[in-house]
Amino acid sequence: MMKKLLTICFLSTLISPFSYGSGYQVLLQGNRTTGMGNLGVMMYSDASSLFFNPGAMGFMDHNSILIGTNPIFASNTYWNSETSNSSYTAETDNPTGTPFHFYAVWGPKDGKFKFGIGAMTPFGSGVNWGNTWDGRDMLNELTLKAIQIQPTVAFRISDKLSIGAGLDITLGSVNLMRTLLLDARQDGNNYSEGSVSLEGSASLAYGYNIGILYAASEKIDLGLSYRSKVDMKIEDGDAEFVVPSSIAGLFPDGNTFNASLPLPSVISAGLTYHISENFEIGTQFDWVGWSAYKSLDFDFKTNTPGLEDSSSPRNYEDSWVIHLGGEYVLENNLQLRAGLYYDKTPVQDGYMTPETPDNDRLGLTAGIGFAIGEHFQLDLSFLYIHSAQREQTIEQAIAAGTYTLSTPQQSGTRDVLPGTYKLNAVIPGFSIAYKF
Amino acid sequence: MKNWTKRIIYILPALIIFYACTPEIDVPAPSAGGIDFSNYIAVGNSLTAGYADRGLYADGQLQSYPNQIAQQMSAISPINFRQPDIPGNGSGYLYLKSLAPEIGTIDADPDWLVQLEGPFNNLGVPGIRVRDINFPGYGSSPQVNPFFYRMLGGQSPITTYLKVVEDSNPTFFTCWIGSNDVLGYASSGGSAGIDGGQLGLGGLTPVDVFDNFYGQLMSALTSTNAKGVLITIPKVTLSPFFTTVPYLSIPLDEQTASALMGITAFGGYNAVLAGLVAQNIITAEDAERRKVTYGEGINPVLIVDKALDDIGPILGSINPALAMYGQVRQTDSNDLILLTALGVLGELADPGNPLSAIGVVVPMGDEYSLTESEIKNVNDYTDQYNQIILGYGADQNIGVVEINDLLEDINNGVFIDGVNVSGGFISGGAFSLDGVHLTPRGYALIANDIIQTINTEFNARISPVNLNNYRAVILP
Repeated sequence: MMKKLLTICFLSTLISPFSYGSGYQVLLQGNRTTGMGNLGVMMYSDASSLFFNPGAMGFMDHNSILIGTNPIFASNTYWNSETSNSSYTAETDNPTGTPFHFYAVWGPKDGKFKFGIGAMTPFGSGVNWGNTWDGRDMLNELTLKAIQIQPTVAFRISDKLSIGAGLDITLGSVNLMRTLLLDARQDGNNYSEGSVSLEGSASLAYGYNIGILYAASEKIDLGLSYRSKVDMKIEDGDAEFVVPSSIAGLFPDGNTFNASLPLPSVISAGLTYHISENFEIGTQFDWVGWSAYKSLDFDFKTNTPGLEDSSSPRNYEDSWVIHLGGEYVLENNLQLRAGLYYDKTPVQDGYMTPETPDNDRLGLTAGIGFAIGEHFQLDLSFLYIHSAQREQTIEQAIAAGTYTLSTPQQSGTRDVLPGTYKLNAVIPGFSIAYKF
Repeated sequence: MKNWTKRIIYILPALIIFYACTPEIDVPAPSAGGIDFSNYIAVGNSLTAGYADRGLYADGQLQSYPNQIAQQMSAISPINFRQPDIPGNGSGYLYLKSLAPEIGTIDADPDWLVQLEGPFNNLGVPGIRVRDINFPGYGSSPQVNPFFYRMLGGQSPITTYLKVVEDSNPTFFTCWIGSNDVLGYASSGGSAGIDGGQLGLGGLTPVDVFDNFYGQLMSALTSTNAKGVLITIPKVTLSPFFTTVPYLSIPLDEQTASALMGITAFGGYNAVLAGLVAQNIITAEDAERRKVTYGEGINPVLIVDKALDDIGPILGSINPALAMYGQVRQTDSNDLILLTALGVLGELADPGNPLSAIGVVVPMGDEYSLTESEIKNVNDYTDQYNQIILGYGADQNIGVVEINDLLEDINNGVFIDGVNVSGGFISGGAFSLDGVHLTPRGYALIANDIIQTINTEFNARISPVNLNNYRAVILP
């Protein structure tokens, strides 16, 4: 009789859908471009063209090996604005992200072809809210890594036109931790909360990028590029649960999961205007196919009454970025750069999760570059990302289906944490190139 | 020019440090609304002490609702809220041994009865009734009230609770007392009657006594013009102690049911009742109430109901085996069976006799159930006490939390801060293993209700507690 009192229902609330990743695009693939408001598609002065527009690579007048990195110092703040009178806040203690880029571009002197290989991290995320905050049932910590290796070839059709294409070989991994809001008796009379850890590597995935550069006149360069979507698929990732021993049977050891995460397509178009020999400005527009990210699904190998497969809606929207920037070259060949860009969030109201509590972002950039001797070029950049605070109400989340309340027996689930979020990030960077 | 370049290299890291600080959100600061919380005094019983799982122990006490509230007040300006700290396992308590469920007990801490010297801010005394506040000697020894005894270090053993409250000089107070004035009666199934036997421990406190004593408590609390919040008395019948065991609790297969209905069993008993009706000894209505019917499936429980006329001697004269059915009937949907009944239901009254299952063949004792009229007594007295409390709450310096609204919400289920809380025993999360007292999470709901009342009544802005920071029942 008493067994009935312990309905399975309280076990089923233990596992609600997991969640991760939203604006997890990382646009830091060259510190010259970063300094100029992330302009890239119509630039061809250094090897980062391999990433931004393989077509532009055909215009490079030298061979080059370039390596760079941009440590990300980002933090997020949360305020429980949806509870009356609450002054509860939480802050992330994010690990310093270290995206890198490496390019090697070579072509026969005066030839029409350029060959290159690149390795970069165009997507990734690292968020750590810790395991004591209000939303720990959704996320403690997330680390998402994606590395693309890109063999590339460019062909200069004429003095004005060049095209190129690359193959994107994608590797990646994900590590997500969250708390189970139940209390398990430990040795003696201590107790602690349960937890879930999901960790896995993505299988190799392939995509491509293509681009074209048109030097319309002495003053004007035009660029257009396309980078395809890649689906990062995690197969047989490790799913580890720490639960009270009395329900451990519902969470078998050695369980695994499958999941998939789209790295969206990007179309970029840009224009450079050379005001004078040593002064150029440019603008660029990107369209990012975020609508590919419909939901985050976890398919567990072993399902039990306490552990069902989960699907959590994301419903991202396609988004865009607009850039503006310029570079001024001083007489001693010291290059000064500045720019800004506006990045529209793909995350709709009601779908804002603690992994990427996203909002429209304004990026302000500055940079300098200078030659060291005949063969080396050093570029430094600085990027400050500001985003306005964004409120997500319970009503918005209910409308989106990411927060449910059943009636008349009131019980609920949540995939998102209603409240107010704010983000900022400071990203310095440097790269060094060897030209030959 | 070189210097200039160098300067940029220095400026960049400086900018990074400047901007890398945490993004600030404009969060309204908590405020006291002009109230001085520095000497917040919490008056009350076990619920105020942080009692849970049939005991007061360190983990529960630390998470008492007054301590939770005091922590939130401290965010405005730090206060020193002192509780009569109980060591480790305190008075001993229940724990969940398995999900079957099996409930185990943890022994008391050997030092739990060491007296402590006040003053204390949390004056919650488990077991205390309003009618006990003037009782000299209530804390004179651990045998009277061990929890009050603990708090009287350095004081005369005949100090009354009222005196302790008078001496506390609150700048702000909460007062949640009175539930034990009904709980003694309710938790013993009303078996000692309204008077409640010795010291009235199993009874209901007379309403005039309650009014008089509660008034004295209010005078003591408001003598310093302190503002405060009164919390009404919960309808104890909403707690899992009374709602967990259904009135239909006897599962029977067809064979057993028909055996029970045989002519040598209740079939015969029912025939005897029909005979008594035919002889005009009892009415047909009375016989209908006493009739015992078992069938395949889940059946009602056989209980003693002292509201019935005792026809035991008559029945005994017909058949001595029937003597025990003098005030017996089967439960109906108006009855409540107490959680304590789980210890006796279906057990054999005579271990050697398989036909002596309690609640099936042998009636279950009166102390394990509340009948409709007993429930009415509990609720009527609770309502009258609450009217008195509401009367004192009419003062503009006093706020009132009507706790039964919250208890009904809990019983319907609430979803807050990512946790589902309901009134269910063990699985619900609000009530501890004794079925009457709350878990830290349940107490957090109380704390937030009180905080909300302070905020609206006195124009303060105390931030509520986060529910998922407080635990429910600990799982094995």
